[in-house]
Amino acid sequence: MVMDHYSHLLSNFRNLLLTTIDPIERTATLPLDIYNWMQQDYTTINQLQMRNQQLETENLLLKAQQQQMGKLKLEISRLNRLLGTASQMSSSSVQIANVNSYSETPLAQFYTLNKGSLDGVKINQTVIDAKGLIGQITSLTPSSSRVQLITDPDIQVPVRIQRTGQRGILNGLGHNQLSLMFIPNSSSIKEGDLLETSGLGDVFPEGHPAAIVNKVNTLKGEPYYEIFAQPVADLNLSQKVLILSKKMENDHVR
Amino acid sequence: MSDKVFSLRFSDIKWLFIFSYFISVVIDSMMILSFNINFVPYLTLLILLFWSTQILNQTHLFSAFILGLLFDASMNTPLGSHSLIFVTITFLMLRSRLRFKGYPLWQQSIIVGSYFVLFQVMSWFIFHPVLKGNALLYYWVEPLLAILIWPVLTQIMHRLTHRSVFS
Repeated sequence: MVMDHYSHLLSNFRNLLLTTIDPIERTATLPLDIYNWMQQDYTTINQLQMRNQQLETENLLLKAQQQQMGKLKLEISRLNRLLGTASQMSSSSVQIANVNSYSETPLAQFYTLNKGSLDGVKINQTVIDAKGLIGQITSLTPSSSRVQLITDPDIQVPVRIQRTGQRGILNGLGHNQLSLMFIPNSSSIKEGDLLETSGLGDVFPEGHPAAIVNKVNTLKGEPYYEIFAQPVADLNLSQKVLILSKKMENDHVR
Repeated sequence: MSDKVFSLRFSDIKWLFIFSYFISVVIDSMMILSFNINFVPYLTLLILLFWSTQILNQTHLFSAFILGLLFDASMNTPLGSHSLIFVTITFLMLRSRLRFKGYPLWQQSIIVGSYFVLFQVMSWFIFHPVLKGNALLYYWVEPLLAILIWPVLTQIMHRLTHRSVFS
């Protein structure tokens, strides 16, 4: 228990156990699959047309934004050269995965994805959705993987407040709640502030929106604020997610 | 241990034994993954307690350990934590299983309920579960559900065992 909790020495054994119970879990998710399949089957053509129109509009907007992205990327790389060392995510290092099942028990919060080690997924990879950070891959089978969600009490994410750049640690509280720790009383923070990954610790790549501050309490005699936040990503609704590869492009420019 | 106590032989019911564990693990996983019901007592633990009172020439501690490991992998909890709880409860059952077999069904249910209270207490200290709002109440209602499920489960399992042995 101690070895598994404090180190990754047993991660291969855990992967082996997960592979063993994979057929059991697939059988267990059959009712959910059947329900989803039936729901899809009863979706009317009208609904599909509306969805298609919505997606086309979204696509158009994204294309327009992408045109700006090219310009911004060049600008950032110029600034990075001026600042010295910097890292940025490669656009080819992203994999799309489907959420097979979602579990929110009092003991753990996790997703099971349909991509595993055979698809090149590795432990500790970051998972995001269209809105923000979802979590981190913690175990693998050849055909599936487990993502520990950022709301899980066992996970800590180094973040910064986007508005001020103040760094802190985001801690899961379960039930779609997070707490932001180590923000001194002297800092500027308010409800609605966006928290993004800071990239410290080299686990979560920097710049991904993680949560929005929804409550700030000042505790008497305590040097830090008590801050609560809500995840930006749709943890309960996401069907498709992106797995970010650890492959980073490190530009070392003098 | 007296030879006069009726004990099932593993060889007579090996398929039922394996199948019952398989089904119970599938149902337990289904409750969490498909139906998002988190506060139902583990059917696997109930089945484990049932077999430990029926097959008396085995300790069932190895089964408890392996099932615990599977639950740890399935629930994303530290490896060995569920095993520890399963083995402890099975050990307590082993200490009193002959007396347990002699008790009426209602009394058996209450004892099983007390084992589930122990399960919840140990889970509380090991996992520090996140319980907010009604979740706290549901967490402690689980042993009561185990009390209600036990008589039904034993009746079903006795019938299946009877068919398996005498067919």
